[in-house]
Amino acid sequence: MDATVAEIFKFLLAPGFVAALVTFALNTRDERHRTAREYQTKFIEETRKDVRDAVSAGVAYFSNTDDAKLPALHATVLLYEHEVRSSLAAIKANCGDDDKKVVTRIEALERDFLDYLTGGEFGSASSTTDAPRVRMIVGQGALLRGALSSLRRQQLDAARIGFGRPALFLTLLLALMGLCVLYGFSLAL
Amino acid sequence: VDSAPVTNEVEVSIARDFSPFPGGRHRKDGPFSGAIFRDDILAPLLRENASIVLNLDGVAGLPSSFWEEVFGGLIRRGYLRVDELGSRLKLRTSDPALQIYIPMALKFASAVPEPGKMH
Repeated sequence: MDATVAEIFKFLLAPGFVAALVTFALNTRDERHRTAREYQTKFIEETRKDVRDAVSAGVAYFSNTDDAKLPALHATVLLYEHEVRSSLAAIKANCGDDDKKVVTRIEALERDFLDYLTGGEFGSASSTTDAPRVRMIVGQGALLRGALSSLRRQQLDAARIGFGRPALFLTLLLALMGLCVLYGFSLAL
Repeated sequence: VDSAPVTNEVEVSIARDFSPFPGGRHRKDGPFSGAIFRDDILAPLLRENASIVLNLDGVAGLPSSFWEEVFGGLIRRGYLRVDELGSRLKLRTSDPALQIYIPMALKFASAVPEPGKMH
């Protein structure tokens, strides 16, 4: 009888211990991925706000007719240009191969947006209004914000698919453990 | 500007040799404008050297008006041909946030009809 109980424990405890270890490892990994995903999502949202602020600053600069306001408007545009450029560089660095297509699109939109934002007679000695440029800044800014939304959505979708893999693995492991338990009972009987 | 006579290649750092805060298009726009950088720094170096490495590290940013005046202006004024970009004038940066200015420079240079091809 003692030998049979020992057999049951052997078949119960060994897979149980392995399952606990694997579950712990998978949970730890999933927690890390979740934190990174949440950070990236928030960062993309912040960058979309920066783009919107950059659009407002650009519109104010290229619609201005008051030379006294020019230095402050100029500095504001440069500040947001820096914010957008730095944030987009960080977002691109955190993207994988799956995001390559949307990242290429974001890069092209970023190039054009920055061109419109600080191009033309930006930085000139006196105020120069530029209505066509204002329209292009607004339009290009909207396209860039849209592309950032696509990237965020794509990364969230990929994360949902990714979560299924460890869950499936865990289910298979538990099933295997169940079979071992049944085998242990069959030995005892 | 660091001269290297053996290879006849010089490196120019915009931040170190010009300004960390370049801006403006024309000379009247200030002492760190694109026209001044192009005509007073790049053009003489292009005449005297086989190639130039332009290092972007350290600048706060490169406003498009400045950057277009430098690269579009190099082509417009005949200092350089578009096909010489990358061989006679190389752009470098180790800062990911400044990488975007490299394709922008090529875009500005390519958008200009070369002097001999203008109608």
